Amino acid sequence: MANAKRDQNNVPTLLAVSAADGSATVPVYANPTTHRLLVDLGAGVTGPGSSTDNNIVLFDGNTGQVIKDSGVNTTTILSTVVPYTGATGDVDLGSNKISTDTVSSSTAATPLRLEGENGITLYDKGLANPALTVTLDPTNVTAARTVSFPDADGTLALESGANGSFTTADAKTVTVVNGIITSIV
Amino acid sequence: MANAARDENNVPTLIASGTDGQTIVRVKVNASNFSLKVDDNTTGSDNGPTNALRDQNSVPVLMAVSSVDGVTPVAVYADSNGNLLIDSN
Repeated sequence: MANAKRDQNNVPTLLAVSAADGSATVPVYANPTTHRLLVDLGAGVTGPGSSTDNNIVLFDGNTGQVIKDSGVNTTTILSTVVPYTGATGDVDLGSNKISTDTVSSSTAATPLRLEGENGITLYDKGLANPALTVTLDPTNVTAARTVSFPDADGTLALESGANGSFTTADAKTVTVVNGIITSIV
Repeated sequence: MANAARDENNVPTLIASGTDGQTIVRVKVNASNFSLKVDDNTTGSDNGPTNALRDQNSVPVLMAVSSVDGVTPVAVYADSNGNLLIDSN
C-alpha cells in the first residue's frame, strides 16, 4: 500500500485504488517531461508510436485491438491498386484489359472517344459466334446513323476474302466478292 | 487565471496546470456521460514550478507522481479546452 507523495507545500499527489484488489492504494503517475497522466485504455486499440499523415490504418493480427500503418497514403492509393500515372491523372492499365459490359462517356454532351496509338481494333472474342458485328443502336440512333472517315482518302478496308453486299444511304447496293467491291448499283 | 468552480458544499472541481505549466485550467467533463475530457496528443512544456500551482482561492492543481523515479510530484497538465493531457502508450 503506497502513500501519496506531497510537494513542498504539502499538496498530495493523486492516489487511486488498485484495479486488482480494489482496496490497495496506488499512486497515479505522470510523465515528468510532458506532464501527461499515464493511462491504461484497457481494451482500447493501440497503434505504432508514430504514423505518416493520411496513411490508411490496418489491423495488426486478429485481436481487433492492434492497428498498424499500411504504408498506403490516401493521395497515392490509386497507384497502389492500379498502375496510375498521377502526373497526368490518367489510369494506365498497361497491357491489362478492362472487363465490363458498357463503357460510357461521363456527360450526355460528350461523345465517347477511343484513342489508339496505332489504330483501334474491335475484336469479337466470342467462340460460339466469332463473326464481328458493329451495331449502331437503333434505340438511340434515329435520324443520323453515320460512320465518318477523316477525309477523302479515308479507307474502308474489307478483310481479305470477304463476300456479301450492303446498301448505302442513297439506296445503292454494294457487292463485295473476295474482299473486292465488284459493283455499286 | 481560472479558479476552480465549487459545488454548493464548497467542494472544488478539478483544476490542472495549462500546457505552459504556469496557468490554471478547469478540467472538463462530458455532462452527458460524465466522462473526463482528455487529450492524448498534446505535450506540455516542462517549465512550470516544482510545487503545485494554486488558484486565487488556494486550490491546488492536480498532482501525480513522476513515472521516472516514482517519487517526485509532477503537475498534470490540461490543454486550453480543459482536456486533461494523458499518455496512453
